[in-house]
Amino acid sequence: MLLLTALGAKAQTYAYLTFTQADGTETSIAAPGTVITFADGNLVATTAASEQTTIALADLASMRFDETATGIETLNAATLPASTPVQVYDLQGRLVTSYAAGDRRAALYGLPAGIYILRANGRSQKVYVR
Amino acid sequence: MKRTLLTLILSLCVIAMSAQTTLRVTRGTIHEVFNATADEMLFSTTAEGSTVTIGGITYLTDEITAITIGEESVADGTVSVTYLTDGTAEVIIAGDVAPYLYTTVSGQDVSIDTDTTYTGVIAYTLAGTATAGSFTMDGKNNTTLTLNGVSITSPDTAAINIRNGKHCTINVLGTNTFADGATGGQKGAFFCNGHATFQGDGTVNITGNARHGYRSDEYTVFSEDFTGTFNILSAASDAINVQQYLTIANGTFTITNNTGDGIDVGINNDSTKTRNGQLLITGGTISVSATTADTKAIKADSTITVTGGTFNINVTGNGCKGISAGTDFRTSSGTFNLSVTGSSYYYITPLNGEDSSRCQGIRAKQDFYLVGDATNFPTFNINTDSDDEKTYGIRIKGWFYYTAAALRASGFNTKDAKWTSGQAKQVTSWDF
Repeated sequence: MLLLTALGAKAQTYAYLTFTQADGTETSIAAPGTVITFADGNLVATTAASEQTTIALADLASMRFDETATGIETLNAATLPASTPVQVYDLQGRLVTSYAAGDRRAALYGLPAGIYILRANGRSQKVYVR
Repeated sequence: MKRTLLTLILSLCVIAMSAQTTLRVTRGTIHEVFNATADEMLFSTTAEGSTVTIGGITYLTDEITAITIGEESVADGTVSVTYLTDGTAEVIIAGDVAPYLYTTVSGQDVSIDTDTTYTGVIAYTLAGTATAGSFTMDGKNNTTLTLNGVSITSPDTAAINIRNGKHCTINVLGTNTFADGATGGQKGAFFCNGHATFQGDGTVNITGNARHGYRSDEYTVFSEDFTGTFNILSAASDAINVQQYLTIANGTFTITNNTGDGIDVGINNDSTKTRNGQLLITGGTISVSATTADTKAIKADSTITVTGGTFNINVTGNGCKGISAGTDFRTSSGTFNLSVTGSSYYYITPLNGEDSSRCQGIRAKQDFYLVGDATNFPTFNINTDSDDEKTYGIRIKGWFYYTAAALRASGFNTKDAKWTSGQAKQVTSWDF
């Protein structure tokens, strides 16, 4: 009975908070302890480890909690140095294209709508292209 | 083996209950705590600025102090208000009811209005100390209000203002103190627009500076579960003023320094209301000490029924009554310790000229019922040490009905009683 009661509570933990920008770019950060503030037209998320992510509100479409990291939470492709090489894979793991980080918008806009994985510096990020 | 299994189950419960990611949206001192879900929280740009929608509420981002992700335990349907020493008040609202609540905090004045479409029960808890504040709550849903050691003094309005006309269960914990502003137009320092039921083992202290101490526009019940203390320290008018009906089943009541009546039960304007104007006392201890002329320690516009409890009443003003029933007075048990020592109160009215009001211990404007048996009967200790020959311990304007056993056992002295339009008649019960 007690176990059923516990299960009925439907408590849910989420390890990650994912921001989705209007261009489909997604950025995941560690959720526990994160504090979000708004200033000068930006969202500023500060994790428990004091890592900051700043996203212009004008570019921000939504945010959501994710249960699992799926290994793609740490890259923020939008903030990479312009010369950093970025590889783009589809969900079947096929390399679709690559580009220098500074050319991100042009490279992504040319892709068919869908979900892609960006990889750079050994880290990954999931993006939606609409 | 059983212990191991129980420990495992309890551990699972704790894990499941505590491991909940929450998202706290803070606007100034107002905090709304949502259980995290996988649903998208949308951002948008409007003419008023950027917005984000969380848990059914669209916030202007400029109004958000911070959004904090954690694992908080905020029960569904709850609102807690804590008055802080820095002159502010912190309000924590559970996310499931947050979309239905309109909350404003100005210094230590807290006002929470519930959307009229909401029909669930909201549980409010008050704590802390407000030296210049108030709590106002409105809506059309049932509520509970836990007074958890809160002290509220208002300079200009009621300390507690329950404008919601539905039922409110008031749970009294610890010592709670309320005082209103002397200049406000409120009906009471502690006001309830609807009906209320008190429970709990704590203490309530009320000072009514403008008018009544406690006032409800519909019925109030102090239930068997109220084992605490209810003190009216002073009142500019009645100490306890209740419309429709008042029931006291338990608790200790001490009323002092009231200018009006001690307890006054009035008739609600809606004549269809049940028990309209009645006072029912089945237990508890009620002590009233008053000096103001022409007042009643305990009064009801309709029937007063006493089946238990102890009354300690000491009124010294001219023309005062210990207990005054607008219609019948009925008792089958209880202890009546009454001291009514004033003289007649003389006054002049435009129509009738000079008139007077006599002191009486117990007055029934209609019939008086003294019932019970040899083991369960009321006890009267009435002192009418007055030089007014028209002062009586018991004044009956209708009939005096009694059971023989109760009349003998109670020590009721008919010489102390006066009845005018009726006669004395022996009965077997008040439902004869």
